[in-house]
Amino acid sequence: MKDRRFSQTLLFKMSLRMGVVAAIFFAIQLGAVVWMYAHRPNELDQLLVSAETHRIASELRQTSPDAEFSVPPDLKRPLSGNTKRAFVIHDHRGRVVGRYNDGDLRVADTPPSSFVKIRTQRETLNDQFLLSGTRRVTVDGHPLWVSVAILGQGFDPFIPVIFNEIRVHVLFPVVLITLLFLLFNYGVVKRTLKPLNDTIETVNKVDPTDPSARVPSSSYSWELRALTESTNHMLERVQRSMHMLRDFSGNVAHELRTPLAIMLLTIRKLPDDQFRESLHRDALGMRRLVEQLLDLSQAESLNIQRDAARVNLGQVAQTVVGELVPLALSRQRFINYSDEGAPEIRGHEEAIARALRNVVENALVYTPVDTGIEVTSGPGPSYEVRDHGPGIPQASRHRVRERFYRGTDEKSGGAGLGLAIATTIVEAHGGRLEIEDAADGGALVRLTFVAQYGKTL
Amino acid sequence: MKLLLVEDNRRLAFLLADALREEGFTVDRAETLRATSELCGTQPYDLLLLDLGMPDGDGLDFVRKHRRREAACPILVITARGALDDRVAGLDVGADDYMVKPFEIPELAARCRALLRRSVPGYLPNLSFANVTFEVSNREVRVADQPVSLAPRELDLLERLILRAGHVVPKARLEQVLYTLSEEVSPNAVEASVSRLRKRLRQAGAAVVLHTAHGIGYALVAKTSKHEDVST
Repeated sequence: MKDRRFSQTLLFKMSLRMGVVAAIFFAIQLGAVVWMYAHRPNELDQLLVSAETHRIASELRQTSPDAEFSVPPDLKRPLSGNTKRAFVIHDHRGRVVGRYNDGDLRVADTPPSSFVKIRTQRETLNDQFLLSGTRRVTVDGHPLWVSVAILGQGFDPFIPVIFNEIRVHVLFPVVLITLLFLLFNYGVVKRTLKPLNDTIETVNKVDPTDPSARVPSSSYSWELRALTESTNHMLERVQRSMHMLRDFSGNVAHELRTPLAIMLLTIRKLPDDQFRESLHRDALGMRRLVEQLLDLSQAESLNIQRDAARVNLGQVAQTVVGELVPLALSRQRFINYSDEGAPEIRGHEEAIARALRNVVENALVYTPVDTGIEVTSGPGPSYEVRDHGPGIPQASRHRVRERFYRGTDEKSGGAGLGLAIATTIVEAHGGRLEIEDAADGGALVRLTFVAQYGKTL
Repeated sequence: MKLLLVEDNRRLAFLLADALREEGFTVDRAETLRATSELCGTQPYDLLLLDLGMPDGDGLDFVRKHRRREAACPILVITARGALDDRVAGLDVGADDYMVKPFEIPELAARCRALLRRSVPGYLPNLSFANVTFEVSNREVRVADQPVSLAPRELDLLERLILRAGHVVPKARLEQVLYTLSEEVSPNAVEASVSRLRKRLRQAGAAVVLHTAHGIGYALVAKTSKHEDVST
């Protein structure tokens, strides 16, 4: 998992869930507020009167308490379409300091008793209501009494009040809680999840082809310990099954090699004729197949570590070519070797020799009689083997590296494992096997290794 | 030379022993490590051919124990496990050579002879004494450059005697090394072989005498004038 999208992270999911919880909380709160006011209209009346008187009082601040209050245009606007409103402001001496009436409303002109603080009254006239009330407010340290009368209809005049209520009692706490949630998420949850991210990093660093690697155990929490432990258990099982596979190839070796040995020895005892010859050839072919299968399974279980032995590529090539010269000569082909200075690499010497041997043997099959193949080591950590045969067609180049793939001509008589073995070995060393056309005909197989290769533990 | 072939697959063991006999070796067979231990304690084998995968134990453990014995004969491990690590492990615990099944008999025989050359003093590819030469690899005997044909048993006897030419080889030891465990050895079997070999050598004009040290054994010594008529 390389691409870490925020929308896929645990942190995001937790934030999202917290957001949903906040939204549900908001809805419940909203429902509660609406339900409450729908069932107690008196409270809405009180709130509306309070809201109006406070609005008026706040405008009063701008004038001197003794001066007559001139009504600003803001206050003259009706609360809603079909609402009429009037108000009277008395000071503590009973004097009227301000007055407004946009309709024919009856407002108590008599100053209220000085002890009145809150008074609300509702009268219903047909489908209309008349709210009247008085509030004692304090402006610049002086008490004032604001009496308001509101004539209206339906629910509209109350909407601003309800909105205000929702703002104060619902929206504000919900926003606060959501912010706290998110802060909590970023502060606490992110920190809590950090070891998890660290563990992911560590697990990612584990080399998947090296089953002996283990994730260092985390002591942070039970869950992480459990995670690292189960990762390690899994790696252990992988290792065990890889070993089982290796043991299996050993068992196959034993099971096949012993009967083959018996077969070859028995064939020796047959009368010396053409049947014995052909049986012997077949048995030798089977022996080669078994050996190649084992070579392949061994190549697959190759695990080159950073501290693997140093291998001198030039020396290996020299040995391999030396071993194959008699074979080449017996088939009337020859091998030329040139050392262009390949460096030492870390790896499995025998396996590298086997890879090169397979490629050279393959070339010996396809190069015509009385031609040679050229084996070059270097420059750089690579081998080149070129023959003077028909070359390998572009279309089947990737297929010759597959197991049991033989060219169409059946010329080799082999099982088609040679280049597969070589490819597997080269790739186990971090390198690659490439097939090209040689400059003047024939195939060119290049085995490129990596100078500094080795898996970290 | 006498080999002990330790192989639990009876058919393979039988065929292998047969092929090795054709190559001129005297071969005993064992099918368990227990039997191998007992045989190694009582019989003078020159070489042990050991299959690692035995039913009654780990062949590598056996090699390790065998190495601690005094005058332990060399071990050639023959096995189906041919991975590099297996070979290294086999050689590291004290095996002298390692061959992976299935193998060609000529190569196995050649490797056996190579091991014997290292462990048996004087066991050269070409043994010679006076005008008698014994080619180990193809078991060809020449007297004064003329080939002489000998029966297998007499070849084995000559090989033993020429290897210790000038020294007496005890009769009891010859009885042990010339015959396999499965052969009935009659009390005068060695004597009979000796007299046949003596006759063949004399007919071929060999400048050696097969001397009988009564009650002890036999010795191949160079012919001098005083031997002229003692030899019979």
